Amino acid sequence: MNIRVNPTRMELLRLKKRVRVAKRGHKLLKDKRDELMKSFMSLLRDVKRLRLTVEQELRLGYQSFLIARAVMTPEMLDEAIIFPKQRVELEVTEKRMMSVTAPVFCLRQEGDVYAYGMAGTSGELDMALGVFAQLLPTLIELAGIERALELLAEEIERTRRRVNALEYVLIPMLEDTVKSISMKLSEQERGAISRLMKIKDVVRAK
Amino acid sequence: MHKIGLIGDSDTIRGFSALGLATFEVMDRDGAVAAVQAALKGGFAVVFVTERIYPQVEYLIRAARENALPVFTVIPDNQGSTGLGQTRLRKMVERAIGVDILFKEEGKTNG
Repeated sequence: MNIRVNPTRMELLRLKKRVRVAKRGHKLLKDKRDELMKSFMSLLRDVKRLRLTVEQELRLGYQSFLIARAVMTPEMLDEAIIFPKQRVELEVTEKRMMSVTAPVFCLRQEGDVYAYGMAGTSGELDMALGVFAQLLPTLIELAGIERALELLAEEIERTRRRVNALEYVLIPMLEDTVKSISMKLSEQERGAISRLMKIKDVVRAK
Repeated sequence: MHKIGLIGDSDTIRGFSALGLATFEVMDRDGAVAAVQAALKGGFAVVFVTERIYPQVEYLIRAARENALPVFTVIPDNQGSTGLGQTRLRKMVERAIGVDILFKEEGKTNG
C-alpha cells in the first residue's frame, strides 16, 4: 500500500520528513495513552469505592425515611418537609488533566436541614434527613469524579484510535512509499548508467 | 452559582427535597423526558437521576453530553439498586481499555 506520488528526489525527501514526524507523534501519543490509562485506573478505584458507599448509605437513608413515613401521617410529613430551610448551591471550577477538562464541585450549604418543630414529627424523620444530609457531599463528589472518569474513558478511546491509525496505517504507508520511490530512483540510475556504457561502446566502435 | 437537581419518583425525592435540592417528580415516561429537558435548561450543575428512570431518558442525556454542565449521575431509588450504576462503570472501563477488568478485580478480592 502506498501513496501515489511522483518518484522524484523532492518527494522522497518530503516523505522521509513525514515519516519522522509521524513516528515522533506516534511515540508522544503512546506516552499520552499510557499516562491517561494510569490516571483512569486510579480514578476508577475511587469511583468504585464511592459508588459502593453511596449505594449502601442511600439504602439506609431510604429505610429510615420509610419508617418515618410509617409512623407519621402523610399530611404531617408533607408539612414538615415541604418548605426546606436549607439552601444548597454548587460552585463549579474546572480541573484539567491530560487535555481532559473535568468539572470540580464545591458544595455550599446554608441553613438547617430540620425545618420543622419537635411537635408532630418523629425522631425517625430526623434520622433519615440526617443520613441524607451527610450523604450529600459524597453524592456530589461521586457526580464529579464519575464525570471525570467518563471523559477520561472517551479521551483514552480517541487517543488509542489515533495511536493505532499512526502505527498500522500511516507509518507503514509512508515507509512503503519511501521504499518504492527509492527503488524507482535507483532503477532509473542503473538505466542511465547502462545507457551511457552502450553509447560509449557505440562511439568507440566508430 | 449552580443548583442541584434530582429526578425521581415521589417517594424517592421527598427525603431530598428537605435538603434544598430542586426535585422533579416523575410518574411516567413523558414526565421523565420533560423533567430532563427542564433540568437541561435550569442552570443545574449536577442532576441525580434514579436508576429506574435513567433508561427512559438515556438518549436525551447522551445527546446533551457535549455540554460541560449539567452532569447527570445515576443513583438508586428507594426500591433498591438495580445495579445500573455498576453497569455504567463497567461500560466506561470497557470503552477505555477494551476489556472488562472490573469483574476480574472483584474476583481477586473475593478469592
